[in-house]
Amino acid sequence: MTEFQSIVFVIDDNAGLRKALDSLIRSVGLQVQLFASAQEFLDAKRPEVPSCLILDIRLKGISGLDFQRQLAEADDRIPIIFISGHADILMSVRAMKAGAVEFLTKPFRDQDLLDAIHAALELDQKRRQQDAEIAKLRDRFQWLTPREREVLHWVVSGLLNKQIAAKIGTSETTVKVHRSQLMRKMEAKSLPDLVRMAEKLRIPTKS
Amino acid sequence: MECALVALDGLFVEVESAGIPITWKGSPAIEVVARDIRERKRAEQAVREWQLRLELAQRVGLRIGLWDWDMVANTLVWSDETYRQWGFTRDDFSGRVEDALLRIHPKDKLVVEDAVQTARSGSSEFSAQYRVVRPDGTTCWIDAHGVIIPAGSLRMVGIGIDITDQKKNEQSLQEAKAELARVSRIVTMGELTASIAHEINQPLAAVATNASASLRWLAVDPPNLDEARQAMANAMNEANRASGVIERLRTMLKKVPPQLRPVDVNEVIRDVLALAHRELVTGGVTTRTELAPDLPSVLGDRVQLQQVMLNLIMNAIDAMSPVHDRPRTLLIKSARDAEGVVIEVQDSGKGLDPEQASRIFDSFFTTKPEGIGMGLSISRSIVEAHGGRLQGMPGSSDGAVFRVILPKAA
Repeated sequence: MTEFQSIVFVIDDNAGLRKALDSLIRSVGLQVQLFASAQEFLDAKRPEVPSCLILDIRLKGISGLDFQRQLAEADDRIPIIFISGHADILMSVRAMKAGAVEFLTKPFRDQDLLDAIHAALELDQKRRQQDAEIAKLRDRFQWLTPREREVLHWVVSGLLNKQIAAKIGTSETTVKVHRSQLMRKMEAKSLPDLVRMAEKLRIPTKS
Repeated sequence: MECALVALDGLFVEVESAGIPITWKGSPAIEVVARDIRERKRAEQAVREWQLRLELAQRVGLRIGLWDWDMVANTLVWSDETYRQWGFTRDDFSGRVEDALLRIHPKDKLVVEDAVQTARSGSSEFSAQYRVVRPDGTTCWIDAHGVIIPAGSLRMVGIGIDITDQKKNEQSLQEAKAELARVSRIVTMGELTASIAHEINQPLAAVATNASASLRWLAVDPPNLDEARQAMANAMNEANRASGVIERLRTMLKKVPPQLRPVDVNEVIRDVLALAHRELVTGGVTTRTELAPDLPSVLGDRVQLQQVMLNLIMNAIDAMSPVHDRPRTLLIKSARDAEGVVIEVQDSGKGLDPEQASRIFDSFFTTKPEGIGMGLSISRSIVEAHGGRLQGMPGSSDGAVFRVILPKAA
């Protein structure tokens, strides 16, 4: 994992704690960016690297939980670690249900926070890999002809060449040609490989 | 026979008359002795009228019983309503005072005895509110008033009003009020605790985080001393911030400075006893005061000193509530002392064991199931803000003694 590229964002309206978190996170070799408010964070340009967000549950202007929802609605899936001034079970349950990585109560153990940060960054990196892969597959899919896309649907639905030929009203040989073309364009090594790709692209199977 | 005569002034006179046959001037006649009974008739009429008024009162729901106590023979004569109030019938009541007294609620016996004493001494009329526990377990609250009649033998006549319903209403109102006060205290406490926790946790989290960051900077190879130093400096700043928060809180709790004015300590004691009167009566506590006259004034905040006294008295009542084998007595003394004024609040309650005595002034320490452990802690802060001292110690035989020492006004 390329941690030196990763970045940890911190939103906390308490300057003292921001400074402390900055030092702690940098001491384990991670990059940090500090924000005093949610708005500052939204206004900032974020680099496309694995990242996570440390978010105080009590912010000026907006509650951390509301901000979490706001990010989700904007399809911003940055993993969130909540820190809270006091243990509030109801709040922590809500935060975790909405997908938070961790909910820590101040004062927290440094190792707990660092563990949560590593878990969050790993999660974000995986998500980014998946996103990248799907983007790549979409790009390949773009290059298929309508006929090849139709054949693809039937292939991943488990039909034999002969059955596909009957379905689309052509010869088995033509189906074979379409099939080898789409396998090449999608860069699929085998039929199971192609099925996995179709799943990631959410291509519906037909019966 | 009773009849009416026409007197010489032409008015009718009611008389009681008796006659004997005599011979007057040779012929048989009757000698009649007539006594003017207008006075007695008026009295009887008055009684009848009173009886009517009582019946009227009874009809609108006021339950007034009459009683007549022969204080020499120690016997009682009652009206029907009084029988009802005490749960006796005319057949099963001996008329003896001792038998009636058995039905008075144990907590109210002293109240009644005190009232009788006061009436006997002639300083005022008999007046007492007490509970009567009937054999069926029901309780009747009676508001009794009586006067001693110095006629022939020693007698006291009086009335007893059934105030059970009124008392019940008062009590439930009182309970609701007390509950409200308790809840609001607890809610305030809870909010205070939450905000203290938040205020202190912020800098505390920063201290801990800076300290661990510093350790990590030292652990890297080679150690980054500049970063470690900076993190430690930050930790120090945050630690100072935390102690600042605590200092502010302490100041806020003490509400310094108090409104200092010359205060008469005895007056404070009397005010608070009046405030706590109901609780003292309900708790079956007999209160005695030994207040030294001509005490020097102390310089203080009257309301805060009242709070301290009220807290000590309420604690005493609570401490005595489990006591059943001895009288529950509260003794409040004030006296002059080299420094100024000493107030002692002495109870006959469950007392203090040494382990508790050392902790009772700590915040959040309590021996009461519903307590929050702030009363004595705040009281001590108040007394110390007045330049005085508050001490607690076990009583000489039982219970506990709390001593407030306040310096006199310069």
